[in-house]
Amino acid sequence: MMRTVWSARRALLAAALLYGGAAQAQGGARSSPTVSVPTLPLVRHTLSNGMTALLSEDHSAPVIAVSIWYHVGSKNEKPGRTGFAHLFEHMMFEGSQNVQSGEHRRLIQSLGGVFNGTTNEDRTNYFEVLPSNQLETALWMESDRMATLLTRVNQERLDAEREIVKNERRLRVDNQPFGVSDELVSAALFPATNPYSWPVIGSMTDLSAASLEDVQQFFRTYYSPSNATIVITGDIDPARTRQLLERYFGPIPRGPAIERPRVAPVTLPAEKRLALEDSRARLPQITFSWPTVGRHHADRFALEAVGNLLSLDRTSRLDKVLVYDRQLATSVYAFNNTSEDGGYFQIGVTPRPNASLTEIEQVVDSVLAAVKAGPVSADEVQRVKNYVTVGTIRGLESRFARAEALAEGYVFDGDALSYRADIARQQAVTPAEVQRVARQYLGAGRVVLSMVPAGQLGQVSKPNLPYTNVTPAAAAAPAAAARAATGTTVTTTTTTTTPRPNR
Amino acid sequence: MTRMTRTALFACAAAALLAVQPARAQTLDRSQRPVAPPAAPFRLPAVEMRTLRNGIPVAVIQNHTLPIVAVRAVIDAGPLLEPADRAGLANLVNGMLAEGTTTRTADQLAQAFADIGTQVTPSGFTTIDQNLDRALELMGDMLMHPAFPDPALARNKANTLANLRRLREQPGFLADRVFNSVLFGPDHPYARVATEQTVGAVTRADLVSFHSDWFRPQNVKLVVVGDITPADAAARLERVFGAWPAGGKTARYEVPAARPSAPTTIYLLDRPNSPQSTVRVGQVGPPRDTPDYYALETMNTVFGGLSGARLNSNLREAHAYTYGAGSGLVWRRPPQVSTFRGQSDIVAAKTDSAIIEWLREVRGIRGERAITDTELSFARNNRTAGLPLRFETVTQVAFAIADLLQNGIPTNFYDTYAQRIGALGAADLAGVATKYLDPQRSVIVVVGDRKVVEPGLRALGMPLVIVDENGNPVAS
Repeated sequence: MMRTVWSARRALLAAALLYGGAAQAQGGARSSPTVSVPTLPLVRHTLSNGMTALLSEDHSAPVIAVSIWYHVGSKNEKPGRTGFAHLFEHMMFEGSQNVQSGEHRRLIQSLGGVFNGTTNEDRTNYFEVLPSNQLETALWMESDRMATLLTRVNQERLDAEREIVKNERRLRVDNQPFGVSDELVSAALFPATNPYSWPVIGSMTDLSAASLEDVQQFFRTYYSPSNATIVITGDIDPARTRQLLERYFGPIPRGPAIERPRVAPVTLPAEKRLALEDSRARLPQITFSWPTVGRHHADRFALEAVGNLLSLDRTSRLDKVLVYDRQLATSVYAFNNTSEDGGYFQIGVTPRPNASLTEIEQVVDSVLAAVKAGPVSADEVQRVKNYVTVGTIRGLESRFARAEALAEGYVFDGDALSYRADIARQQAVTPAEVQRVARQYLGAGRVVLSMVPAGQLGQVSKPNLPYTNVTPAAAAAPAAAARAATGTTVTTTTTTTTPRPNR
Repeated sequence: MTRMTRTALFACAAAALLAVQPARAQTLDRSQRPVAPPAAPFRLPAVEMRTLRNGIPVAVIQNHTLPIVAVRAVIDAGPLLEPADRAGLANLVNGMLAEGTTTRTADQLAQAFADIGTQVTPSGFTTIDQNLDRALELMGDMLMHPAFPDPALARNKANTLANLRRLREQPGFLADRVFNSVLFGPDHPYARVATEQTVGAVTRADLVSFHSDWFRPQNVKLVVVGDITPADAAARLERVFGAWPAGGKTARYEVPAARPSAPTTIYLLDRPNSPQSTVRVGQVGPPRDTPDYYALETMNTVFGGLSGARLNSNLREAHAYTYGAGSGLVWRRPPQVSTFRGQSDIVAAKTDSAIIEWLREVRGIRGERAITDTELSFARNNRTAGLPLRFETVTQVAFAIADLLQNGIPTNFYDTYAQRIGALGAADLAGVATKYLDPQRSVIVVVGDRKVVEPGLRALGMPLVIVDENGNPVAS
């Protein structure tokens, strides 16, 4: 299938002109500008083995971006193998039949290019940005690992990558003050059977358990052309690119049908109050999290608007009260995180020294109550949309960003250009919808996580309410552990799935 | 660990795969690597210089691909120019520029940014053509007419101090802090750090004075990139910045010499319960205008500048001590010296082993392990063939040119860049490594769990100094 749309330059030009015109017309009162969404040029080509290719031409610089998305992430992991999708991603850089271990990075870099791979809950991507004359080399390398990875995978490399990934976990999680907070919140928000309840990086125990057989099985199940989408943007000739795609990827056989996890909607019946101590921290922090909706639910746009209403700039509601008027915090954030089949809304506050978490919680709750009680002004909602519009045009500046936008739309929505519909829906959000979703989703069923320096449980927000101390044992100060064991106001449980750092 | 083991496993795995999936063996011979056609022509961005009537130079780079424009201001008003007893002043001034002007409150500024959907900062912005004049006006107002209201200053001071406390939770911040202190000396400007005392002492009068001294045309350079002609850019900037009055002082960049180098010493900062050690290894390097610049950068590309370089290949790929290791040159505006600095986060139990390997790599790049032709072309090609990637978007170009202006480098720098890099040989790279890297006179900083790492570090036989967060020796 092939479809050509007009050039990126003209499309972006039109969008910018229309938006600029609207902005000029605004003057004093703020109105809803009529926004034309830029349409990237697109050629879609489907190989007989089921692989989809999305090609987007732009000859303004001799640069290409190549990004392959495999529709597999930590969501697809088996129990006892958390972190495996990401560990597997590492193995993809350790050579295939015609590429030596470690050669991938040296070859791409010697061509003047950059590369990486990333894994999240829903997908794994591999990308290169290169001078445009290196297109065929990129396709040769990507197809070699898709076709022949298992010819070079071996126990020695798996063991090495396992240690490297453990070091990645130490760097990002275990050696950071309160670094385990995200995985504690996810484990509390989602039931243990929900694949969004465990962290992408995985636990040390599960990483230790990953076997060569796991690698082989994972590759055969998920790393086939029928589970892959390749996007190429930039200085390409679509006809020749299609020939090269057929040459290098065409011979790779289609993979098995994939059974995807069914993820039920999540609500929390009641508030969960958690405390986390860290001996390396000097000041407390606090987050509030609610389960929300996934990518295919229309309410995500209004939930995103709530996030911006609360924390876009200094006039936003939480910033204004917490950072500027009451000066209880140095910074605050609020966002709705949307995955393919689930999501959550989170508010985080970084307090000033000596500000009480209890008082901060009271202020956050009063701000939320005000949003729910309304009215939300049209101006407040409009200012959010202005940033999104100009941000979208700027966000399509680089070839790699365009490749990611097209891949995301195709893999999750079946429409590479779905970002246009998304922006239209974002622009259509009304103040009434903002108010409705705040009432509907940001209610009593939430996770409140107080993070305090070790031994400072007195700083936990509303310490007289029951809470669970979820501190991994290795990080707790002896005094705090002893106090927790006596259980005065503290309900200590062993429900946490957080592993201890391996030493 | 041996090559033989790998080959054996490779053969077994290949046999298994072929048995299961014969269809993957097709007529395509994947062992034949494609030969790339010649690179497409690439024209470096042409920098056209204009001058406003008050002397402010403007670098303009035309790019009419998209209807967008990026603007950057390079202003010589950094921390080097603040009094030592007011450390933190320059950053406070910078933050306070957006806290209101003589004609706009901070909230009015925020509303104006939202109206054009563009976060305008005193240092610049990228926006669509139609918003350019409005964004320039807001940027100019913040730079030239800040109000510095007292209540906002009190809030910024309090937040600055809170953030400093939080930064000390981060092992990376602590390692850099100690590194600069022990490398340059505790009283050197690069080791200066804002404290309760220095930030607490800052008054509105200090802000007004600092702004009046340094935010002057002779300390300002502007960069405009995108859908605009030089004449148009100059005219629009003249309307906003042409009225910036003369006066103040001219920034200078003489700083005291770093303290003399000493035999390689490990400085250990205890951070209990750290599963990794945050490590820095480095030395003082030459100023940015050294003729050795190209050789140094290219040598570093072989040594530690990329994930495919020696340092990462050793510490990560071969030994799995870390998620990553790298090195680089921190350049400053001449006549200031640079810093050659490597960094990695090492699993605690392997801290000593990693340092042994690290110093082995330093000796190697100096000549013990000759730079191969493959490594030489790896480094040269990365820098030359990769040039188009550095100039893909107008925002990238604006930052690249601003960086040249910031460091006092001529804007035609890239015209001869590929040629100079291409002329380098392996001997040139080893030569600068020998000249500037010395495993006998390096500084090694370790921020980690002392009870875990100290015995191994002691066994290395180098001087070991236990230090506090400021890099000062702790009596033990």
